[in-house]
Amino acid sequence: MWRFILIRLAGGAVTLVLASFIVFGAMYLVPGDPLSNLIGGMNITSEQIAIIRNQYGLDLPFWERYVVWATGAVRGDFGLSLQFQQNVTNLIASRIPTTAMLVVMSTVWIVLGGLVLGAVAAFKAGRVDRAIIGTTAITAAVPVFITSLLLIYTFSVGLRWFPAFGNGTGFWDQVYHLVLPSLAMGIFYIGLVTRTTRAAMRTELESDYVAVARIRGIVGRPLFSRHIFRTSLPTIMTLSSVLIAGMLVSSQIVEVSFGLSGIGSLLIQSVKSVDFAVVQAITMLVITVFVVTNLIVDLLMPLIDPRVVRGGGNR
Amino acid sequence: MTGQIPAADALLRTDTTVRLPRRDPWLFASIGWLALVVLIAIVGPWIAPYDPNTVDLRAINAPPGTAGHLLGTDQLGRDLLSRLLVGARLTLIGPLIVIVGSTLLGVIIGGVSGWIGGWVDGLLSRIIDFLFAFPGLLLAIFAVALFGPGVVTPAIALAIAFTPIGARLMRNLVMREVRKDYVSSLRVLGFSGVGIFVRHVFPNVSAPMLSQTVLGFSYAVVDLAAISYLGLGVQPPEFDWGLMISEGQQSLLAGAPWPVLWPSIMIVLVVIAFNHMGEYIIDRYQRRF
Amino acid sequence: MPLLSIRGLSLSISGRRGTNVVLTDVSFDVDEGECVALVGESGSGKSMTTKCIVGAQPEGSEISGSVDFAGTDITRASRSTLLRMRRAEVAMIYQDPRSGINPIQRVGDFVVEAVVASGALTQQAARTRAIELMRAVRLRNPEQIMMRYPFELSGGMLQRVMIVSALMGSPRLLLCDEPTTALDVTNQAEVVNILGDLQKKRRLAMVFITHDLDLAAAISDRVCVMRDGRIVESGTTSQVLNAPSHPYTKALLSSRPTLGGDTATRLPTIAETLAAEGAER
Repeated sequence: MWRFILIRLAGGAVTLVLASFIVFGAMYLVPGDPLSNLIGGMNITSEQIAIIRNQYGLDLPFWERYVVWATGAVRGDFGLSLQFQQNVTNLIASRIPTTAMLVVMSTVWIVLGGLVLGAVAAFKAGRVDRAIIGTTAITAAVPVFITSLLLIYTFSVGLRWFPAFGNGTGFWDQVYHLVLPSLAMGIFYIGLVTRTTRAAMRTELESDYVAVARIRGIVGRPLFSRHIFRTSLPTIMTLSSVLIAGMLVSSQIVEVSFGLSGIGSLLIQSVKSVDFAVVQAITMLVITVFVVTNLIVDLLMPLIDPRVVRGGGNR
Repeated sequence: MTGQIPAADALLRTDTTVRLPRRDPWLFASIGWLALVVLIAIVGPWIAPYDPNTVDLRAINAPPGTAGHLLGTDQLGRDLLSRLLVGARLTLIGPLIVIVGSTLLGVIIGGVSGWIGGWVDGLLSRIIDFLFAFPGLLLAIFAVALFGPGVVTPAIALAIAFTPIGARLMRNLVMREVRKDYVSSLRVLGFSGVGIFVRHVFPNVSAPMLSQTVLGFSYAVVDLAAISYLGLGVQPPEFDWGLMISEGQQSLLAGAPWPVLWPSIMIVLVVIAFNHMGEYIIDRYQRRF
Repeated sequence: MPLLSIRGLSLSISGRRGTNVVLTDVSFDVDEGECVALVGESGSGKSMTTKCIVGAQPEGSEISGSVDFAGTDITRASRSTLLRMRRAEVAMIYQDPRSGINPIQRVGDFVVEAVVASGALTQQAARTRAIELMRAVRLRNPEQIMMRYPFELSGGMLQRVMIVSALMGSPRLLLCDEPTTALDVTNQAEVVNILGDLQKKRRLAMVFITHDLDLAAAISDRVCVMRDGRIVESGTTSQVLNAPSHPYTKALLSSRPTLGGDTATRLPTIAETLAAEGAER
């Protein structure tokens, strides 16, 4: 058991280190002098040039540069943003709440909608099932930015119920501003969760042990929770890593569509203005969140499916 | 035990071989639609009624049906039908690169991994597991940050990001086949490893891989359209459907949805078509995966 | 009064491709403490018959005739009656115990589940009873086994666990659907022993499905031979197996290999024997 945990943790750590290596080193893959690449076409003073040289350790050999950057990163110091002339960490920190709220609200839509719809579809075969499958086939096929625009057109431009742009001030106003964006993300992923839940529960419904349980006289809630829901959980939970990755990425698109000032829009903006320090920082952040959530799911798995500890390694 | 043992190198079909489709009207609709779109991509520029870049500031955001503009115009007065037809090419080229690249890599890496096994498999599997940590779109955005926007850069990045899925699938499928008795029988009979792989194992893993490829195409279309939408893909004056949507957002906010609507419908229909095809293949072979 | 009395049981299933008649006019009795073997090839309707006994015939099937268990007709029973029966009167064990137990459930939980859910026993009482029964089926270290997961146990042990779970509700009738087919010979013998033991000690009525005639001979008092959904012959075991009257039964018997039999000639197939008997019925 402990071996299982340790291997997973070690794996995660190694992945993060290698990823940081790539995120940092990629800068040097680009043809040309790193310094001029970093500066792009911007006008900056020689003091700022010196700061950049220092930050990236451009005077030092490669390995030392990496160590400088990496140790800084672990401490939370990613250097200076060129576009905003601010500490990158502060910049990101100020924008995290928006993105976090967006993801949380989307998750609410997705979990409530997806699990419920999936269960309904699994149990009520026939027209209800086909309607749900058909609808989700379409919603899953519409890219997030198109859904966003559709929602904007209907609810902002048309009905004027929700704002199409901006963050809002104060907690509830922000929530209000995030309704459409989180709905856009939610609609996209509900399809995925619904289908997976439905497939998993269907499989369980048809399994031998459910049949045996029924013949033993087990019905209703104990039958459902123990034999159908719990046995579907592993499949549904594996889904969550796909979901997290998707949401981390889709949130960027949604933030751009709705003009929200979250991490995603910051990333896109920084890419366009070649503010590389910010790009590196956000990329590492996203990858870290992804790796950590996967780790959590992996570590929770044995609680749900005791067969996992035996397997390990490549599944 | 009468009768000859049939020629051992006759193809030994197992459950996961590709077979001809059964009747499904939606399947034919999907294939037909995609064929049409490919056709448009190829001949678009020749059949477009207008030059897609011609600006006409007297007819901004014109609704469909306005004089000479079947689908209306965008915020610079450019004919939407023409832009739609011409934009098909760049919208589909990217995904093509992604799929060809990732499938090729996936088949090779997964195939080698599954067939040879041992430390080679161990090493390759670790690399694949590592690649899984990079969501496709993120890698593409990062690549653009490094190398600048365009059609090719994000496509290559996505190809790399999509590879692990195909590679792992291929590896698992090949490993499953390798364990089967017919493979050892063929080896004992003296057939070469490569020969066995190409003639028997590969066709037998083709169905799941094919469905993965088809579905991958649809994800690639969506991801690359998103990249263009974000302004990180194809750059003006060139354009694709994603960029059209991005440029059209202002018109939408002003109450004219057309510049956004048409490319959106095209993208959604293409994605639905690919999804249906991919899922058809899965359904057909589902129980035997 | 027989415990179980089946009269004229017929079952047909309608699907997209037409109607399939699965059982035709099946009739037989089982007395208390008696073991009746249902023998026949795959697809002869043996399993389906037992499913009808617990009211588990497939949805959308049409059933006629009567299945009378201790005075109640199962085919016309209400849901609550059926439930009561399944929990306390009739139990079933299967060919593949591994697929019949929820893989993520501990064996102990599986065994006590049904009786606890129905309220017949408390958790504590149920667990005590389970451990007793495990000893009765010769499982060593029952306390440990209760904590295990199915993947940690062998097929033979799982089958005994199945038997334990079947007996928890103190049923009067035990349906056995080829419980030894998936086991190796040693385990087979053990399980058959255990079942025989239990049957005698608890006066358990049994319906034992098998395609193995020798097994049927070892364990049953009476035999019903089934073919294509009908019973073609029934009687006491010694009667049917030593002096069969129906050509099909004869065919089944002569296609078995025997120790010390003629090794130079190939065994006849059923079709050949039937043809030789001159009756293709």
